[in-house]
Amino acid sequence: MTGSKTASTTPVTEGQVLDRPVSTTEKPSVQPPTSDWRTTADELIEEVRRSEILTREDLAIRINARD
Amino acid sequence: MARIIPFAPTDSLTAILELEPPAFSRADPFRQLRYIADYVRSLECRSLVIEDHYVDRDFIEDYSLFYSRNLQAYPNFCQRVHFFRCESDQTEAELHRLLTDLRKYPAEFKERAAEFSRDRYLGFTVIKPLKGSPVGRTVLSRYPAQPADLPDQERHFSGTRSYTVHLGPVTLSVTGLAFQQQDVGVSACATTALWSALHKVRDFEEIGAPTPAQITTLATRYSLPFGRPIPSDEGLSLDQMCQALQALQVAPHVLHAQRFRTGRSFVYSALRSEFAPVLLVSSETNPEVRHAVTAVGQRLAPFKSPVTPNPVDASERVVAFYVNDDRMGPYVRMNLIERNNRVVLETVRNGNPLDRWLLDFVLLPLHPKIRLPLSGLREIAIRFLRDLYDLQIPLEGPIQYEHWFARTPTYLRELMIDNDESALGVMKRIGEILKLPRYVGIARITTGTGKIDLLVDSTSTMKNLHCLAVVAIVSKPIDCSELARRYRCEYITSQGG
Repeated sequence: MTGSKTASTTPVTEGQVLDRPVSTTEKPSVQPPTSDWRTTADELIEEVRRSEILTREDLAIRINARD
Repeated sequence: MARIIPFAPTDSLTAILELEPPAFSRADPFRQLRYIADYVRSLECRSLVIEDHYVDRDFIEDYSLFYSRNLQAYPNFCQRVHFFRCESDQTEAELHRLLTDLRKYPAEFKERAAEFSRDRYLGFTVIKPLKGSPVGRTVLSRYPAQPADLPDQERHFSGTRSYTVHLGPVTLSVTGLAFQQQDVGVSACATTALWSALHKVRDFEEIGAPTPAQITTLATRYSLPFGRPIPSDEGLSLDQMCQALQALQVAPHVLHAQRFRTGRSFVYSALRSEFAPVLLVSSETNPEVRHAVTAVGQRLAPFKSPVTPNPVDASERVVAFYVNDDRMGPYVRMNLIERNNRVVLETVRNGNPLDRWLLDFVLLPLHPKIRLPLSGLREIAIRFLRDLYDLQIPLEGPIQYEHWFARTPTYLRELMIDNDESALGVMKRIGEILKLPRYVGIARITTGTGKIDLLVDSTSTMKNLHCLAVVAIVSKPIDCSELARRYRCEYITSQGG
């Protein structure tokens, strides 16, 4: 992750990376995804689009958890 | 005037600071202070330096607006407690040595102070003269990147920043994100969560440093659905939180985050973008109780190759988020749980689960130039991957996808650090042919042989999206030029294509 992989005593170093390199010992494979992945992808896109729709009621929610 | 005292494993900060609870307290006023003591102890704190007269910018503003008008005269100053990872005599000796260095080797003083900070300094907490809510601005060093309990996991605190601290003439530094306890005078949890998140925004952008009192005032300027704003015992609405951000020239970007995969991905990507998102949650047992916390980091499990050839969402690695929770403390662990397709966040204290919250919304304080929604960037990443498959571009597994915003220099630096020599040519080519915005949107597909990034202009919108380039840094040649033509953007590859 950019600027984030840090030890408690080490300042953030920009450019450090989040993603763990994919193991090179794994057997390489060039395979298409299964058909159900396409369905999943469509569902995820639909979820993402719905996430953007806010209503007046959403904005009116009251955040008041007491200490 | 500062005093140095030892901090033994059994010592209590409440006792050291001689704090007494107020009458008729509804909740334990020292819960956060105890959390802080336990936290610094876990980072091997051995000594304290206490400044008995410290003028804190946030408290003086709260004092001016609220506490100065009480019948009882509160002091307008605080105490500040610094935490050190060495015995008190060593702390004293080290600070004395730094003062000597300042006189003898002024040119090297900064470097030596930085070294001392890195090795010994754990941060500070401001103690307000309020018996019921003593914990003021607190910045503590983060947990180590590698957890002791599960060393194959990783902690990433990308929602933190560096703070400079002056202890007399000595300049110390600590990396963390500011935390404080709600006082229910000028701030409740919503205000405090925004205050924390805005501290991170100030890491990159030149916005003012709003105090909790100012945030509450800005949030309640145009709308008072729950009555009087101060004392702020009624909390804020999501609308009011957005109003406060807008007034501070920060764009409030709100997303529904109820669905598990999508909600998890939003928080992961926001942290990957080095934002500190505000998480709006509701109690699992009483949905009427809503709370706001600021996410500062996440705990990731190692990548596991999937059983099927299907691509994996990089956010699947998230095990827990770390949040600043004004009811408890900084960097509180919240385990990520899926239940009924909802994101459930389980608060953990000393390894024990405390309570559970359902994630409802993610509120991102964004630079106004980022017009593209984080949700839109996720859609782009999924569709980008689908297009790669449709064009039958050979992608060696295992395949991961993710998306985030990065400041352009940060993205370029990451390319350089994360890759071999071939990335230098890619970076040069990007500099030669692309006009890059302040923030770039990145949809990344990581394969067994490298990375394919789609760079998009974050100042554009989903309706009129401007793709900048497809960037392939791969060890085996692949051809994504058709895809770049489809997106009407440049194609830059480490294979010299």
